[in-house]
Amino acid sequence: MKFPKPVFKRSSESLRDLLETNRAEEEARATHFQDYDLAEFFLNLRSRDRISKARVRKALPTSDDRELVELLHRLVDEAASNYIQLRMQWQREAVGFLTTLAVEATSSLGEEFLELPGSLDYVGLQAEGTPEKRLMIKGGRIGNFAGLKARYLNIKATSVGDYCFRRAVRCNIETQTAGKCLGEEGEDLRLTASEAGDWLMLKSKRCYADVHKVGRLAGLDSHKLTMHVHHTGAELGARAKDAVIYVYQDAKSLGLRGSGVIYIGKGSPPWRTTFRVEKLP
Amino acid sequence: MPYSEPELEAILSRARAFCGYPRIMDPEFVLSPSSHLHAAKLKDQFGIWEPAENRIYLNVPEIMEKLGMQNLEAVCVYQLLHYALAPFDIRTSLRLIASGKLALEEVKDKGRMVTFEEARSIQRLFCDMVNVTYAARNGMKEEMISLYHALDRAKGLRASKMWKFVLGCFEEMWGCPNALVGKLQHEMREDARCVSRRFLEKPFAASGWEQKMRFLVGYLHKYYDKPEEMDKSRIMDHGIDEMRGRAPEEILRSLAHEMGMQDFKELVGGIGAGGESEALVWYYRDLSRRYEVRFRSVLSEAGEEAPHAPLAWGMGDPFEHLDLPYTLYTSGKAVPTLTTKQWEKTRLDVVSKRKTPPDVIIILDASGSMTNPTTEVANAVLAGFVMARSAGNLGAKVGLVVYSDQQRSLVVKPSWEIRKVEQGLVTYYGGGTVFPVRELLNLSGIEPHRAKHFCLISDAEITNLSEAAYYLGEALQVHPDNSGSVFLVDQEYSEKAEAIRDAGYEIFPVSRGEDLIRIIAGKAQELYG
Repeated sequence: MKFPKPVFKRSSESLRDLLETNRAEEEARATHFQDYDLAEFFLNLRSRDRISKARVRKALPTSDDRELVELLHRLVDEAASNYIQLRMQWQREAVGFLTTLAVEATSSLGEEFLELPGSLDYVGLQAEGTPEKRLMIKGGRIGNFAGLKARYLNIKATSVGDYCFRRAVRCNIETQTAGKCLGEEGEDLRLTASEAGDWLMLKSKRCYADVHKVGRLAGLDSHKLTMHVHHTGAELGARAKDAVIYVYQDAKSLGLRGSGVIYIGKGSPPWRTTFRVEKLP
Repeated sequence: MPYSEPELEAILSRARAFCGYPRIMDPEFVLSPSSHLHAAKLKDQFGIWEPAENRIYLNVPEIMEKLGMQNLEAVCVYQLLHYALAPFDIRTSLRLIASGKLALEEVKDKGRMVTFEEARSIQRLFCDMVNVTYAARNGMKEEMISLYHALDRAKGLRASKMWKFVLGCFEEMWGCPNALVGKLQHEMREDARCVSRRFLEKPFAASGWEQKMRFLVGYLHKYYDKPEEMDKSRIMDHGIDEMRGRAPEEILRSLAHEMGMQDFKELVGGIGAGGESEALVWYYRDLSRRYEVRFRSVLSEAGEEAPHAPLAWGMGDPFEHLDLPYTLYTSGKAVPTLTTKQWEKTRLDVVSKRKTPPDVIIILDASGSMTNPTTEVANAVLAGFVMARSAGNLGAKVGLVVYSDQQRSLVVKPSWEIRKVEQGLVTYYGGGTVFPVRELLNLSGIEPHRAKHFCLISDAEITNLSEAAYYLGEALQVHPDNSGSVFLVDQEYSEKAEAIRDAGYEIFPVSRGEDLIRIIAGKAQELYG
């Protein structure tokens, strides 16, 4: 845009005016950064459409990574302190994107991991690491939908909620307890947990899970799943293709129409199954 | 009249220079409004904007009486800055209106219904703030203070909270405490300070206006009960955000790239430009523009030489170049160099023959397994737009079958009217998937002398696949130049598609939805480029 030219005597041509203007703008920017809170963030973001990572980034008033991390920590803490008030899905998704931006900025600053307050949903939503520089989130309890569509993200937490790592690629999860539907349609995921819910690694590809106890229908419709498990729920590996499953103690039942091999402990009943069943020594 | 016409002209030229000579007809000073062509509109107004002429008329007697002639220059600058700075054009104003509406919903002002009119009033006030602040910070501070003092007296709005808040904001923004309104309630003064602080961070950068406008809404809504109160605190309209006399699609063009579909639909409905289906068509059309094939003038080939213009023939020129019949025809007698003529020759450009573009029949799956184009951007529908518009741009006819199950399908016969096809493309049924064999047979039989390209966009979850493959093959036999392509959404490889490949169709499996547009644009380029 072509700006109007000053034609009056008291014009901004003078250096003092220019300096004064710049100083005022810089002061306004600093105040903006300090005053920026979650309410203003939501005000900037409000839309009828689904929000995206780019829109969330655009709504934040900073371009410097260090400032960004500081601001994101402030906003995430504010959200966590009153999370029950954020009832709408888009608000929770927005906070999820804040955690994503925070972990990405933290990683670009050379720090190893980001520690998050508990019980947030959508943590690490669409986070994008690289094979050389994986992203890392640590936390106590992490809510539902963590790591959705993330790439090269590691999460280490006491527990993760339901529907985590849906459509994620090359992510690692270390937790005690995982909710249901973890890793749905994910690719190359790696899970270490004590206990996981139903539909673990549903429709996933090339995933690896080491879990003490899993729920029903683990590995349903998966491709090339490798799973080490002690206790499983019913219908283990139903319709899975080329699965390699080690069951060290007991399985309720094996799923129908699966292919691959199941290594199973001695004393288990003779299953009628399409899997190749091998007895563990 | 205290001012002579040359003085008025000087005022106007200074204002225009200050505003960088905005692209608008020169404002006209109306000295006797009662006998003016727009007398009715000018009555009791400081000025008007006339859409038919795109001209501003300033009511000089009204300004003189209510504001004083010393403020005429400030009024001119105020008005012209709308064209030079904010909102500058209707798209910026629409962006701001849409943002304001969403922000109003977020702050949920006293549970009232939020309307676009209200958002537009806020947008107008916001643009005023940008403009007068620009003037104040670039050498016209005294003039602007004087103008708003005069306006304060003329409008008698001292009791209005809105007016006091606006003046308070100006005091803070211009750095002139107590120059306009003086003492304010503590909360109002604090709010004015907050607005001013946020506003002064790069106030004239249009990219930040949407956020500033949303921030302003967060405070402004506390100080008015009716949106008209905001209009009262303005000097006059500029007409940039007026829809009258403008084609809605032109106004909304390119906005699809900046906002989501739902926001766009709401904006279209909110400003009264059209209904949901029109909004959808405009949205997809806008998105498809960057991929579609456009008509390019054909390349010419240099052919044989042909006479271009007569020249004098002299004794030094070859004799065979002399055109004696033309010489006698033009002069009656042949006097060398004086009347004799020869021809300057030039190589003729021969237009190379363009291949006749085939008509295209788009067969679009609108079953439940496909994305609903009315709720989010459906790549299949966008791909249909790209293909249809590319064919239309090259003068080919476009036909359409949108299908779901046996009961539900929509047929548009091959036609040059692309709009009908576009309206059809945004249809969604969301049922089962039965390939429309009968409709395909009907369409392939229409104008069998014209070559057709059959373009099927589906996810190949077709119930009657073998029947579909057979009849798709039959359709290719109608004309020797008939061809076909099948675009399989969200498929890396499909065994089912092999049956269609055997029928003579090219198969394009698309694993990522967003690739579909590029692949179909490539096909359109191959057909029509």
